[in-house]
Amino acid sequence: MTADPDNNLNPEWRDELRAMKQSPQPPPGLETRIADALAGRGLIHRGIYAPRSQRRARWIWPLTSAAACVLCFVAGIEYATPRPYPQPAPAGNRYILLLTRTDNVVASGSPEEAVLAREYSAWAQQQRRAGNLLSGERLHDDSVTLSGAGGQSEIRASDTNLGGFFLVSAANLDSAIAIARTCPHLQHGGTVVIRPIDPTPPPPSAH
Amino acid sequence: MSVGQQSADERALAELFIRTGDESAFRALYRNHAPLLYRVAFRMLSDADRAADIVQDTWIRAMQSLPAFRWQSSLATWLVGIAINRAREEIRRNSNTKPSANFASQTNDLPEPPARSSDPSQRLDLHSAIAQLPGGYREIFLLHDVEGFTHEEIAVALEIEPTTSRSQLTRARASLRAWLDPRKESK
Repeated sequence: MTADPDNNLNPEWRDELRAMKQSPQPPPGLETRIADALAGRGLIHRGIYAPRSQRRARWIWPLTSAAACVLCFVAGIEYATPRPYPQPAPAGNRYILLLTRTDNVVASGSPEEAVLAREYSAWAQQQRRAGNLLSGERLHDDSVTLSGAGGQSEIRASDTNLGGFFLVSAANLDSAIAIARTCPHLQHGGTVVIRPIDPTPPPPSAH
Repeated sequence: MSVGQQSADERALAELFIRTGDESAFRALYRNHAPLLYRVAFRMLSDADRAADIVQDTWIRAMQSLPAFRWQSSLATWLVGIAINRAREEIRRNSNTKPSANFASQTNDLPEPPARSSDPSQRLDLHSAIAQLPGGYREIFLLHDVEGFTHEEIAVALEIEPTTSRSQLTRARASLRAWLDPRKESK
């Protein structure tokens, strides 16, 4: 605070004035009340109504580290996949590439994120043009696990690290692995799990 | 460092909120500034519920206007200006809304000192005396002597000249001394 040139404040008031700066405190529920009011006016975006850019921010914000990357594969999907996705080649098998998050994240809206988004986007476009990419989605941060152990269902928040997936068409597992190896997610420290889709046989005919 | 100074982080939070409506960004801003806004509103209205309403209205107005905020003052200065304007509206709307003392005036004319009681327990304490300052004087005293704003920041928040802030602070302090200092009483 700048010294007051006409400082004629009574010295005996100083402690009392200092104490006045500590109280009263806002009521504990006021913060959430105001947040709710802002959400009701569309100024705060919550949950599935949040724009994707904010949903990315939600998991980044508490993290103080700032480096690359799982977020960006989502951007790659967003920018690179005009729907409808190509249908799988009749002879092709389908494989799901499960992308897990890492602690290696970039700040939402940062230049680094934009660079990574372009990188993922280029990869996704390339795979789509090649007929490899069938679909892909980012998974929302919120998740719930249902457990049926002992005949009881229990709902609990999931702590899965799964951030999204790509569904690709490939002739065989080796081809799917070859596709996954080119995914920029790996270059930025992410993990890609490749699982073959077990084709569901058509239901038996009633006759 | 003046209370009105701010970090780059705060601007980043505000920009994140503007861009995405991010709730955590709002909550971080809230935690930085809500105590100040609540204290000021409470001391203007002497009513906890109304002070909370003022703080809520302040945040709604501020978040709606945030994209237009040009950062030519600190966020704290801007917010406290909104809160004081909102509290003034509340005071005007409800003429019964007064600080604790019954001779308080919402004009900027300093009232006569209250009659002194011979019983020391009946004399004004500093809190009560501040509450009895007229609106403009009280605002300046609170912002400067309690919250630590500079006269230049007060001038921005209240849309007055810094010289006005200085002169009103001097008069507010003189009034408080006259009301509170027993030595003055005998003069």
